[in-house]
Amino acid sequence: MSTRLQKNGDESFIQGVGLGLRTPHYHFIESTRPDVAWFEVLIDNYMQPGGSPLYHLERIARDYALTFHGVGMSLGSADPLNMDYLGILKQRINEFKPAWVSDHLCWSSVAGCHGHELLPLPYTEEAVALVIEKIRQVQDYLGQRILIENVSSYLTYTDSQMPEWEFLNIIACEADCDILLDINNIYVSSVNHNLDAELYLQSVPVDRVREMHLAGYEDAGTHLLDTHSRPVYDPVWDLYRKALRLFGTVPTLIEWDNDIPEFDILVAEADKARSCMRDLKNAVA
Amino acid sequence: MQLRKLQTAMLESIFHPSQGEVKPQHYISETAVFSAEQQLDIYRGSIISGISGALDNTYPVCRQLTGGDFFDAMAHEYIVNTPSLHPDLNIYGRTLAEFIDNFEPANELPYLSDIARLEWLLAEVFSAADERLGNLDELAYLSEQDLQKVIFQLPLASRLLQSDFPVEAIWSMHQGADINHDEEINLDQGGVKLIVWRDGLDMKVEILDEHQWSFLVHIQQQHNFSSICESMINDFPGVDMGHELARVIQAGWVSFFRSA
Ligand SMILES: [Fe+2]
Repeated sequence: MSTRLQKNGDESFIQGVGLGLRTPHYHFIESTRPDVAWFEVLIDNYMQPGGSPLYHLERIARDYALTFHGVGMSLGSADPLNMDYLGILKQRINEFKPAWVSDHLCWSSVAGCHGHELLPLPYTEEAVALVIEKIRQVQDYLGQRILIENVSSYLTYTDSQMPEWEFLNIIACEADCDILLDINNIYVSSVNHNLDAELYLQSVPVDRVREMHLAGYEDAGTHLLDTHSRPVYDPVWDLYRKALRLFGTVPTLIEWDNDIPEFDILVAEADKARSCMRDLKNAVA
Repeated sequence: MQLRKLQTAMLESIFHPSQGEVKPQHYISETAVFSAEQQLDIYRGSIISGISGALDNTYPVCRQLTGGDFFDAMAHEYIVNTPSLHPDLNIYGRTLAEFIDNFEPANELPYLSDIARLEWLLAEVFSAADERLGNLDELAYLSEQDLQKVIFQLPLASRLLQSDFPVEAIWSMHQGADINHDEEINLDQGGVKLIVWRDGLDMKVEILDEHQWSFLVHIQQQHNFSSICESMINDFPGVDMGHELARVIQAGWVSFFRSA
């Protein structure tokens, strides 16, 4: 396995199917060094200055390429960006040199108060302009492009003037950022809002999709909840295969955040995603 | 509706459902399945349970002592009255102990707020800054005169706590896999003075005797060694300060010194 120094910050090392790095798996990863394409780090859990979180991240970063995934930018908030947060993020980027950094197309705080939830935005001109400006500021400050991820949603705003995909499209193109397309989130939102998931996929600008997410939802009867607590479900695999046909074998990540299973369950999910990629390559060949 | 107005109204509605002038139906469309309020309910549920989960992580012993239902209800009260002011959810809940002091239903457990204080300090120490190896070796080369002027430092990953209750005993009873919930807490053991610190990655809660406590409090207050000696010899006639210094250094509770 190549050393971390060779992998530092080089996005060409991010290929195939990665896994979300989770605390219960530290020991297993460090002691057995499983064959995993890369790990995605929930960077908000590594913002404090020392101790166990950073210790383990440093050890894992020696052997694996990393991407950073955040929930704290609150890009859609009417508040200004939190520069303390971005300052620590920048410091961690310098220390760990992730191939890229992503956060969500959403808001999570206003008037200085944080809900710690990925709240959807109304799809309005005002929100478009605000998010574009914020992303530009973030990219200027970090000195690199970021990826923005589509979130699941459980509500519809009266003010929305365009479909979600158009909102995502305009923002990504105007702000000149990349897209982390969460296939499960598209599916969850399409069921909750009775939308055409395939039309969503077809509307996303192909050359901006740099990563895809797969996860499991929970069926609450009246709606689907994006809980990251289950294996990826069949309709999401189907949608993923369609996404691969449209976007190519974009690096894909398995996310699991609640009721976290043994590591080999995640590996099995990754194998499934890899076989979807293989099927596509074979079909093309 | 202006975005700031919408967002402010929405968070207000989530944390204080009955308050706020702008109701959810002003900005959320009713669907065939859900009213505006019901759509917001989904987010209210996930937001409260998400923040509550952070309190569960930080205060596991408080949760065991009160029982899950009591803790959840108390956490809910705390959360709606204590906005999270930082994007890092891991550092939410610093003021829970003070909240418990004023939370009447918790009066039956008079030691609960001090357990919360202890658990908060553990959380702070857990991810406090790492430290390079200190310079204490150089103490040996100081003249007696220079030693008197030295100001010591506690490790960055350490905190001191004093309680009128045997919080270390209570906390220890709730560590590990086989917790004995029937074991009686004997409050007659009286209060304790503690240091919460991190030895490498190992979290430690250790009881301090009067000499150690006094020494470490003086260090925390940045008194130099000469004034620490003066004050401790006054409080504890006959105390051997060379011996006391060696003890706190050996224990790992002093990391650095600087010469004033
Ligand atoms: Fe995702």
